[in-house]
Amino acid sequence: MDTLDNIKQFWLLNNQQDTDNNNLNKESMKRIIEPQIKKEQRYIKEYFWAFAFWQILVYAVLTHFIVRYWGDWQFIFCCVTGVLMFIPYSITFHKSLSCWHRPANAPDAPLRNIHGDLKAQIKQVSIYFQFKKRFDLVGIPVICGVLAVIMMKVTPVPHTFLGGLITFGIVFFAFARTTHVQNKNNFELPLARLRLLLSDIEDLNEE
Amino acid sequence: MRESPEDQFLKDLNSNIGIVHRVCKVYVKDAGEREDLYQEIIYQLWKSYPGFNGNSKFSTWMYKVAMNTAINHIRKSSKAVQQEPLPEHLPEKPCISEAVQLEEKTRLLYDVINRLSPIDKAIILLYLDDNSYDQIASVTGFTKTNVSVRLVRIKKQLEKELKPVFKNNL
Repeated sequence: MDTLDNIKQFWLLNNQQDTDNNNLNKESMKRIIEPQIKKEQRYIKEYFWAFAFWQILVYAVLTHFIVRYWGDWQFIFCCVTGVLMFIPYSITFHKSLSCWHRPANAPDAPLRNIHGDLKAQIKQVSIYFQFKKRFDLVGIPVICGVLAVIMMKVTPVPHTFLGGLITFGIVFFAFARTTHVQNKNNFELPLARLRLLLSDIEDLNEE
Repeated sequence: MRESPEDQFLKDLNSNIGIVHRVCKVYVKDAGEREDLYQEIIYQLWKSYPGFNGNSKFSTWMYKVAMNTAINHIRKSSKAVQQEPLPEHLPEKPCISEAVQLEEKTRLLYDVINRLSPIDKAIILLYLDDNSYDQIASVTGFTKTNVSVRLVRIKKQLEKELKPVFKNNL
């Protein structure tokens, strides 16, 4: 008899106590389920309010500037551009994130094997990440431009080309750096880990 | 009288609860984190149960939910997997009682399985739990042939580390 058979015999003989001693009843189920539901709801609320707060802040500030500086058409143009940039972003961002945070094992979700589940997770994260990268490419320079104009208008930054360029540079660097770190931690690393797991299955299937 | 879905779920769950415990032990070493994973798996099972249509065995369905949750959990977990060196072989002390030796052997076995990749952990757990190659293929997404190929590789790895302990049988 080889070692793996011995291990299997040993395993089957010595792993039954888990089945016998840890039965769940309605009360213990309630104690497990309720905190999990609360945790999930808290997570959704946090996500919703963080998202809503940022959106409300952007629209409120830009609308305030439009009303306050009505007549200064160059400045109004910047604020309107900012608002117009954010409308499709708000819609797509909300749709993508709602889909992204949908529980993998929701009752109506199809139950997949490990291979299928990994593929679905990669697809879901990739679609959102692709959208975010495209938006960042166009959105960050435009938003930084809008912010630079607003900062020059409402703060004592010298109204010169160099002043504008430096303000734009600082805002752009801050945005680009934050986006880079955010993309790396929230998308690139998780995607790399998922792809590594997937390749573990697919490499053998292709051999 | 017909059982309510909740009672039926509890009955099915309890008759297979060992699966959840073994998945937790195989995927997570830290006791606190293991309890978190246990609760997460129970919650996912409870949430997914309305979608269980009985086309497959309840245990196969349970393995899928539990393993997908475990893999997702370790992916999100910030704690890096600590690889501790294993002892050369189990110390043979005649004074150690049989129960302690058994416990030590089980711990060592889990330690070795813990060091495998997440996919290999799934395959070996399903194999040791006496699932057929068809069931292993259905849970993991490998073809039946590839399950056996992969098992040969895992077997070599396990034999290398566990032969001194398991060569003389149990």
